[in-house]
Amino acid sequence: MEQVAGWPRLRGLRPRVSPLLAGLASVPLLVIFVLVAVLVWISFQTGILGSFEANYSLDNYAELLGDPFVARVTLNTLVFTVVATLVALTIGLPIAWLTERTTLPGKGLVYATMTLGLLIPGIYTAMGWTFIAHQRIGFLNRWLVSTFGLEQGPINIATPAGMGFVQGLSLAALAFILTAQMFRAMNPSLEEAAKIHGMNFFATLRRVTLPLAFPAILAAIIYIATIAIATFDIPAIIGLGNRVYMLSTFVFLKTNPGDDEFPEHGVTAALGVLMIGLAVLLTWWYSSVLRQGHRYEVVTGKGYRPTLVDLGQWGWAGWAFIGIYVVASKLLPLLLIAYVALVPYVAPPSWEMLGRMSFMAFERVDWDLVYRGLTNTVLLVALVPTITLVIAFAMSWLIVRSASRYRFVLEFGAFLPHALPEVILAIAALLLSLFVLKGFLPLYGTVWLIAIVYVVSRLAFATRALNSSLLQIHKELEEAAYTSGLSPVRTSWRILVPLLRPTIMSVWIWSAILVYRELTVAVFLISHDNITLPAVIWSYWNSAATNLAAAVTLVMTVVLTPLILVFWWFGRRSLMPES
Amino acid sequence: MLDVKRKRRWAVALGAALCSLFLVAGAYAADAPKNLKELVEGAKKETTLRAMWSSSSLNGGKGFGELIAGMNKMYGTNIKPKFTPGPSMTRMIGSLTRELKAGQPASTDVVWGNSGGVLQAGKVGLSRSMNWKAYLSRPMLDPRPGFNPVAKDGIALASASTLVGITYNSDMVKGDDIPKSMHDVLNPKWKGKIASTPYAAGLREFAMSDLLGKEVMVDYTTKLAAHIGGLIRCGSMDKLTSGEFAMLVFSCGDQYVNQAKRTGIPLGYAVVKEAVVSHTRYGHVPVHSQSPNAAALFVAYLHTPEAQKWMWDKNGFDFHLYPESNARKNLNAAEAQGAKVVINSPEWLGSQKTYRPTRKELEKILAEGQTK
Repeated sequence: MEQVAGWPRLRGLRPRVSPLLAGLASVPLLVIFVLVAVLVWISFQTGILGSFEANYSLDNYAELLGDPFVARVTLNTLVFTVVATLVALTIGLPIAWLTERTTLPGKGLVYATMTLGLLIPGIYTAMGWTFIAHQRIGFLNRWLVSTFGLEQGPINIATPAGMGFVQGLSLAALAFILTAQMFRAMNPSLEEAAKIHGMNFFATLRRVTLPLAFPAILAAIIYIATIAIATFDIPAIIGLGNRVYMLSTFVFLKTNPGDDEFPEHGVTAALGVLMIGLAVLLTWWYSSVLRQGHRYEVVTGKGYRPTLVDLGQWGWAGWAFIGIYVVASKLLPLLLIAYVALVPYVAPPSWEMLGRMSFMAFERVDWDLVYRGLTNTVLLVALVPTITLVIAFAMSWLIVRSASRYRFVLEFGAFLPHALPEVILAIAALLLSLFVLKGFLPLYGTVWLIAIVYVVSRLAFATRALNSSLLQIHKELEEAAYTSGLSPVRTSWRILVPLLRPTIMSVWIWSAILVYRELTVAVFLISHDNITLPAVIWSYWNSAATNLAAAVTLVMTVVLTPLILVFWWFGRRSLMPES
Repeated sequence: MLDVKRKRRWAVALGAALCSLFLVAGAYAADAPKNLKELVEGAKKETTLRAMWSSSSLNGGKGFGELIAGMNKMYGTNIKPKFTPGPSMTRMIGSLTRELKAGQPASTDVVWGNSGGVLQAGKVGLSRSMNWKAYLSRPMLDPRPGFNPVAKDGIALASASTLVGITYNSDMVKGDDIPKSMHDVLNPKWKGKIASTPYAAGLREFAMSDLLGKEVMVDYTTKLAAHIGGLIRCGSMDKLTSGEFAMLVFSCGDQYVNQAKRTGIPLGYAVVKEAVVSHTRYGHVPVHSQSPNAAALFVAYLHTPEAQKWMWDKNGFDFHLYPESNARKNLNAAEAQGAKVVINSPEWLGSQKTYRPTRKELEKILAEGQTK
């Protein structure tokens, strides 16, 4: 029988697999299995998909693999993904460390700012950077051209690397949250030991801190990279118009063909099936790190008391770094949203345009529609993170704590939906509800269908965060509880949940924010009764009513900002270790 | 002898099957109200009309609400509007077809779409046959030869038209720079500063033998692909007003510019002298619509003078077969310049056997012209 690394050889203390936890963990696996089966089914279809009159062949795979255009698109996506991931980690990781492991003042403000940034749709970050660095209309390029007498602007964001940079700015907040909880839970005793043995700050960082943080950083890299591969808004706004294509915009072109063509969902499904291969590789890599999990356990039952690095006079440098990031990635797009919402049409900022500002766009918004979207979004924001957390906890516990040989299946099942473009999951769910479930489970056109897809696609995020934190809680606490006769469920509730509370809180709110801003699934599953707020904003933007989209975004940001600030103000008081 | 009997039996069975098919097909037409009065009576028994199309079509939810209010006032109905922004016209046809095959009610009771959508709807039996002309409160002018406002088998009714041309930023393109010929945009001063559409709007129609022909347009599109800075959608006016691109060659229609001019947005529109395509917008009713009478009444209402004026004022287009139509004036003016004119309809599209492969070829040229 497989021996879990680091597990004491006391058979009686091995945690039993609770039927409740196993049941909770297996339900999403079943859903994922069915969705993947539908995906495979579609990938062989041409013609009118989902009907039993569709034609079956390998044409979709042949088209995908035989087209040199796809090879170029793949190369673009690779460059874009690498740059986006590097930029996100270069910004997010230091801010997480500064916030959790140093005496940086005003930490609540950092959390609030990073969280608020996610409320800004990526389309506005892209538009903001178009006005900054577009080769013809970007004011940075215009300034460089006029100052140095250049023929054309030297900076071009309409390249895979340029778009990767903008995407990285957008994803830095996610890198921050994915690594912050790891830094928060990390016991500094090893760093202190290194210090006692004469290591300087950088040597300690390189040889102790970063290796300890490796599982969480790896999880963040995998998670961010897969988001970047599938991301749509920034490649669409900047790239599509400039003929720089990514896999996501390639999928968009295939699913939004010309006048008398049906969408080529078969090709996108074939792409999804190929991406399952990528998911297998990434999951295997991550699991191999997890198998060495005992090496990263740093929170134990004895003397868990995180201490902080004193920044002293260098606090200003930390804030300068955060400030530049906040201005470039949050403040600028937010200002642009306000500007676009108030001007009569989109034009580069000028005194003339500022003089023409009015509230006309707000009068033209269909507020009944916005209310309908808001109602559904609030429902999803309340339910999806909660359900996701319950299921993710069961899965993470089984993955990290149990000795079951099926842990890899759970790990793979949790990660798989994240490696698949959400558009593929949405189409699979749509066809499943239309043709398979229609008789006995009328999910088609309801908000519950969207909720199921959201829960499945958010599992990877939640399990990654919980896995990292669970790894850092030593089993001796649970062993003590088992010895005292507590069941696995009560042990989880009484021991693990309190210790994991910071992670649980942050996963909940970040899942809620990701649900709040999620667009792809909502757009594909849209109906009268399940339209969400991002889908309303997208529909305005997509139909060239950019001002109306900005007006709705601005109102929603203004409404949500105080709520987020209050949440973090109360949250930080109980979550933060004493500084 | 046995063979003859068997053949006769088969012939009888085949005849019966064909008769029942005609009866079923006829049942659809027979089921449809025969005149406006019957249609209004049917609509009065229905409560809600659900619509799903792009927010830019017919002014989205606000526009739909205003049109339904006008319809209720005119016909004494009490229909409640329920609008949700939907996907593109083509994707909507795809969604409705899937719902039909799955036995689900249609997600929109009435369809507002283009010729390509009507052609597809006809192929899959998606739209209900209606006695459209019997529902109209006034006659139309005689259409041009080859164009019938009622689509084949009465599955859709043409209700608006818009001309294909070049949209430009009027702050950047002025005076002699305003293109008159499609070759004017190939001037080196515009290199990298103009855009086209990923679906080859205009180019694909011009490539048909009725207009300029494939050879001419493949050559032109190849030059254009090397000349443009990017590909944007027809409705992406913000890419023009922001100065990112100076022109869109070609746009799907002039409605965006007609709307923009009223609010002082710096956009202009030019129809080229070589050829003109008038795109047609159709209203039709899915066979699985939950309010088919209200849906058909809505389409009929669009033909009233009040609704036509509303469409021009709020949406920038109207139907060229009415005497007061602005689209008609624009079409006649373009024809007077000597341009070849085609009215795009499902019948015309269906008759152009090279349309789909040519369009695909042009799309590929545009997409891969300078793909990074």
